[in-house]
Amino acid sequence: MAYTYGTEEWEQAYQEMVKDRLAKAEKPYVMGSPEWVATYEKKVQDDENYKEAAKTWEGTVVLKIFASPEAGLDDDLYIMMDLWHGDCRSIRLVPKEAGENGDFVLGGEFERWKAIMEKELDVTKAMMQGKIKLKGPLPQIVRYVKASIRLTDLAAEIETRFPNEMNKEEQAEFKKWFDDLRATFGF
Amino acid sequence: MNYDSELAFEHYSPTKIIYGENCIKEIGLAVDSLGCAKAFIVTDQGVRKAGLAERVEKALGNRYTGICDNCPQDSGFHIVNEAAGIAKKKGADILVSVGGGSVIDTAKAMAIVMKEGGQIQDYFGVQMLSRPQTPHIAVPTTAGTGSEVTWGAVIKDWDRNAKELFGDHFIIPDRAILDPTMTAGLPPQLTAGTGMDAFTHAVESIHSLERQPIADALALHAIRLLNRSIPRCVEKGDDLAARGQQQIAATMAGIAFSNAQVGLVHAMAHCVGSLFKVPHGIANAILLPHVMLFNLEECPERYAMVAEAMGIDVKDLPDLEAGKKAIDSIRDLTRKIGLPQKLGEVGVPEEGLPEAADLTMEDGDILYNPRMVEEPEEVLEVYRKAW
Repeated sequence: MAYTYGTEEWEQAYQEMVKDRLAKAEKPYVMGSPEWVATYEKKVQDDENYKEAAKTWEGTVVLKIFASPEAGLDDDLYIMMDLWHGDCRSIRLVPKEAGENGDFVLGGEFERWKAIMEKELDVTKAMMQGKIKLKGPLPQIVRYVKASIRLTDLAAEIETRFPNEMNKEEQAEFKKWFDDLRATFGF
Repeated sequence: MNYDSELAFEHYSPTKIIYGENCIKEIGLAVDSLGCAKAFIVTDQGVRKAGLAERVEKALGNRYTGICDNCPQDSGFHIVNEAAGIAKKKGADILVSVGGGSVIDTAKAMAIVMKEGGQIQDYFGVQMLSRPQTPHIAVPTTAGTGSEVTWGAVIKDWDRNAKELFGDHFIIPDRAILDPTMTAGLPPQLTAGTGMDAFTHAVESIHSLERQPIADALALHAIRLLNRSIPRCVEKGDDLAARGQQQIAATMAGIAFSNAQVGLVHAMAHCVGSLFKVPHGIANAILLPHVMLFNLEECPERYAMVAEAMGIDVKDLPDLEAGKKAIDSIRDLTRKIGLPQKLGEVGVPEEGLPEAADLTMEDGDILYNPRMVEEPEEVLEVYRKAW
């Protein structure tokens, strides 16, 4: 059954799917998988440093991972962070239409995100260098640079497996499962 | 001076530079070399009145297809959108900007709208574009901004009274035509201010956290040239050799900071410019020594390099002392070329400083300053010293 994003049914089904994945999926979680996103959500929601640094922040931030067929990702992936006055209201995988309409959309190849999560690349500098594309006003990001750094640090704390670290069989299996999930939830 | 094992950088400088007295005559061939045939000129009233736009029009010959000559000091979204619409209607396939930073930035933004469609407001952001934009030849008529070789365009949203950055490698102009005869009529105050803008680009790219050897080389030689040529151009505006050196140095400093970025001086200068209309080059000239003092202990070896490039004998001096000499020498230079020394002299009210300090914290350039700035109070202290 396919759900329509933005409805109560979608949200309920998404939460149930995540609960199931957290119970069954093996660690380390694959970057961008629902269980990885849920782990990240919990980390941000529990982090006092982030709350302090972002206490006046308003707006959704979308992390857009560009399609990378060789890594099993046929289409762009959108992770939307609903952030408000230091609270992380939710982090979800969302459909393209919702993702592109985020207040700030940060896009890059998954290798770039990997470098950011491994702290080899600074996210704000990556924007200036063209390694990460920013849709939205730069000054607000700069104003909250401490919050941005904290969000990156929290992502880096998650034990993560990257799609290109899987062998071909694992990648094919993950892709099949993930494609089904995308068809169900529209992301 | 040494670069450690953590050094990692990218250097990108795609603009072909054409230099020489009267080389503006080659603009038609430059258009042809880009595979284009219909050139649309973007300029301002001052440049047009000075007869410079006409020279370009003439040199373009039958490739000339139209002109927009109403770019104001702080170009706006509505100007970009309207001018792009006119250029498109005329069938233009290349833009030729003739003017200072604001004119060149307007053409960079028009290049996006002409290629991608919609309005410039649709392209808010940094490095969002994914393909080359409308070809663009920049003909600077000032020698300072470096906009002819940089990836940023600052366009004002007049409704919100806010300057917005459009930054993308795809809007770096394809050609820069540096003809010293195009800057010969620049009055002394403007020559000095724009020259110090270039000087500040050079110093800031050297102290930036993103500093890199290629940009350093360009910036250091720019400092050597500017230190000699700005006073000469101010004193004798028709010295075309000096004009040319200031122009080349401004472009070199532009390439340097387009790769290594700038820091706190620019972040602060943008804010006093936006709030109190202080000309950008003059704001930079006033703030540069104060910010260098603020940063001195973080990067004395960098300022020792600046001192050496300015011709100061630093052989037996510790870096800190050499750095102080660079700061003193920059103050001497700005006095010599007749620029104001304090923000209070250029219309900045003392009670406006806290607002400027607060706004500075939102400027992207602050991220590259060698001394980390965490609170607006630190910036306010520098503003107060410069006031």
